[in-house]
Amino acid sequence: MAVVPASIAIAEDEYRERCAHLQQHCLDRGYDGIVIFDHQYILYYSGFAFIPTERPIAFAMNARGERALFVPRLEVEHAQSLALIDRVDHYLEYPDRTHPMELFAKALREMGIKGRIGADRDGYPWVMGYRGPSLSELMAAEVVSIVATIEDQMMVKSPAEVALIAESCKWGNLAHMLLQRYTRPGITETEVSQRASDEATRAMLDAIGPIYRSQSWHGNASAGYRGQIGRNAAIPHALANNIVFQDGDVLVTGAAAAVWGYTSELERTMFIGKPTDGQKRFFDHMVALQDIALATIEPGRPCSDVDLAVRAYYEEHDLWPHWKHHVGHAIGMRYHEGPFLDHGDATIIQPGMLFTVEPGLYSAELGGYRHSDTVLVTEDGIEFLTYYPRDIASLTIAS
Amino acid sequence: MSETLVGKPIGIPAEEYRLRQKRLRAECNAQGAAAACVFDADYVKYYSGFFYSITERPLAFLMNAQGETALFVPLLEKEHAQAHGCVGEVWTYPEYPGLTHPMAILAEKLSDWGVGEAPLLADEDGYPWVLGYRGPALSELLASSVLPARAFIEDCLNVKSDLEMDLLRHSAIWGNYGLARLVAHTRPGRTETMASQRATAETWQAMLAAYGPHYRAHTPYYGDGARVEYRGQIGRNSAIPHAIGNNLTFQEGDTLIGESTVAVWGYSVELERTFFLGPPSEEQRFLFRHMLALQETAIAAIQPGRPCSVVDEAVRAYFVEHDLEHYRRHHVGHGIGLRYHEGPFLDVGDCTLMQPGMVFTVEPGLFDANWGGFRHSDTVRVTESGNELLTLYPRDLASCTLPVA
Repeated sequence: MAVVPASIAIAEDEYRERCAHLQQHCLDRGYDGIVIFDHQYILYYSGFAFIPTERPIAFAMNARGERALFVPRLEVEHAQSLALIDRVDHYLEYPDRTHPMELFAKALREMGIKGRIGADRDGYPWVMGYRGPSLSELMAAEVVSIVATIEDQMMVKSPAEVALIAESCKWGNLAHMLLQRYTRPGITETEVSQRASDEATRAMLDAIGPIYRSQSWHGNASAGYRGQIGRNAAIPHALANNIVFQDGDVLVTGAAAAVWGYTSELERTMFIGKPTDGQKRFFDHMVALQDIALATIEPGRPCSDVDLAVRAYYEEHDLWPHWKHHVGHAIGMRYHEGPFLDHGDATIIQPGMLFTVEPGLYSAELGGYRHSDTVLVTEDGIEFLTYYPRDIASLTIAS
Repeated sequence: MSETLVGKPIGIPAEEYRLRQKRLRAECNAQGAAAACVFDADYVKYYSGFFYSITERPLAFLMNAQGETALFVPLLEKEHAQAHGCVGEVWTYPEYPGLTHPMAILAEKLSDWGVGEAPLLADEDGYPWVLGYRGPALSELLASSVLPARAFIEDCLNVKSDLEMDLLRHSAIWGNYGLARLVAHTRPGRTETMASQRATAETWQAMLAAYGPHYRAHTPYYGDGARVEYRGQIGRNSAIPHAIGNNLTFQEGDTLIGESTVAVWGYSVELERTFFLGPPSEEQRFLFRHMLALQETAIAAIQPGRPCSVVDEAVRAYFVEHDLEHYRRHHVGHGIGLRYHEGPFLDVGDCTLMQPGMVFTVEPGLFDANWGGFRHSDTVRVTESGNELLTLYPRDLASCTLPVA
């Protein structure tokens, strides 16, 4: 008898519910149908994960709820394997003698999607050398953006999505633990990052077993520094620089894992050797800022409240010269998504939203200080999905 | 004294960025635009040399008709942009979304440059709605028309300079090394993840040892720079050309498609090989032999002055002549450089004329549900008189048959 392992992937019914929500929007607004080009949105509604290239791919749904994928020949079998999809239309190749969009137009007309179309973009974006007509030109139709609707839907996560993000946190945690374990003066960030990421990935693949799917092109479990080492840690979005660790370095990390298309965020500030008084002062302020943010996240309040509370602390402690960014962002299928914990975002916080909480302090002399945790908004507050220690003793590496 | 003795740095120097900017300025003037605005991350890199992580925080490269240049960045990228951007000024906004929308701040800066009276040349009418970003179109904010810049920029990217070609050659050498390491770790019973991780790590370590700490991958596409893997194209599964890795275990008799991509200061070539784990069967040899002949047909057809379509036509003629049409899934190849795919395309529908400086992947493939995928990918550059192979890995059957013990 075959052993069939339980799957933690998003179930077919959940994709159906997502599509039904979009179909309702389509009916409410009187669209003849919906067209989606973004690969993350397509994955969200259809479960179809693919590598985006210049070959256009689209998901379409008419007002009756009939779902279609439009793909190049080389993705046909892959698209047909999805039970949720009612029809797969394909073109042979891009650019070919007949532009793929002309065949797509024909398929859309057959589905009754013509006069008024809700779409995430007015045509396939001109990426990787693609060139082509806009959807409105092609169909001689009115094309209305539905990005805000899609983004609003994706903001609130289902229990199955939360479970996948929690799974991502678990493997991010392992990668981070290994990263900290292997970091010592005299070796490069690349060596450490590669070793920790590779081991964590193999452990994850072995633990989850053959059912595992990353559904992401960006690798599996990973942890690293992205060049945020020593004084260079003052550049929050640095790219890796092969820096050699030294005694006295302040380090900012990042760890995550791709699990069925979902991700998470875990970042820590660490020290090599005993931190100086100045480093300790910044670290303590950073933890205090994060605590304030965490205490402010509550369902029913606007996102802006969280940033305002954190800003008040910067003001009170005269830390403005060290501010570089807002408190955090939502996360899910993408490493950043809306809403934002920013004083300009009035979105009301709701149960099922997930945020990174990561206020930071930056100094050209003392480096960067930022922890990032991924938290879930519950009915009455928050729940940590990341669980790596946050205190200075746990984050100090012997020199 | 010794500190002043430094070798010629690798990477694109400031003069070349200025040359690219000069061409964009000429286009601006030709179209009567007051300024150019570029949002696409690869284009920003191409014009400014500033390599960064893409987020919801809008970022743009700007140039006015007088040739003044700027990067528009969130505050958190200020020092990063100042250190690496080859531009006159770095303009910042505090944060996205913030109390004042960043696009309103950008629109004000552009108005100071006279946009509004004269049109704006831009790759997109506003920052694209990625990663949760929402915002207005530039044309709404500026009350001026936005002229499309993408086709012009794409045409520029399609023809590589000598310096870009140097970086592609570096990439080819390391790609070759990576694939050799991948093969060394491929054995029946091992997993693709193990082989891929070891080969990738070894390639990285060798590169760091060779270039030293100033090596920069500068790419969002290949992890830390090197990406050596099978991507799940193993056994029957190799019949899916754009598979995503699934940690398969190698078995004797498998057809494998291995690929090795190494980014060097943003640029990379493509190298893929079809391998057999153990002696190939008659069917495997049959498909391999035709695959090699198809690739040779394609390479022979790449010549300056001819349209891209002739290469695909020559390859299609071979498919038809040998009754292989049912194995064909895609065209011959694509341009490559800063991005893993770019134009023009070696496709029957692309009439772009091949020019010296263009770089193409040549990768006609045969796919069979039972026998798997058969595809080599090599990267060639178009020369004044024909073409030249940049990738180095052997292509013949003996070299591509791997030992099982």
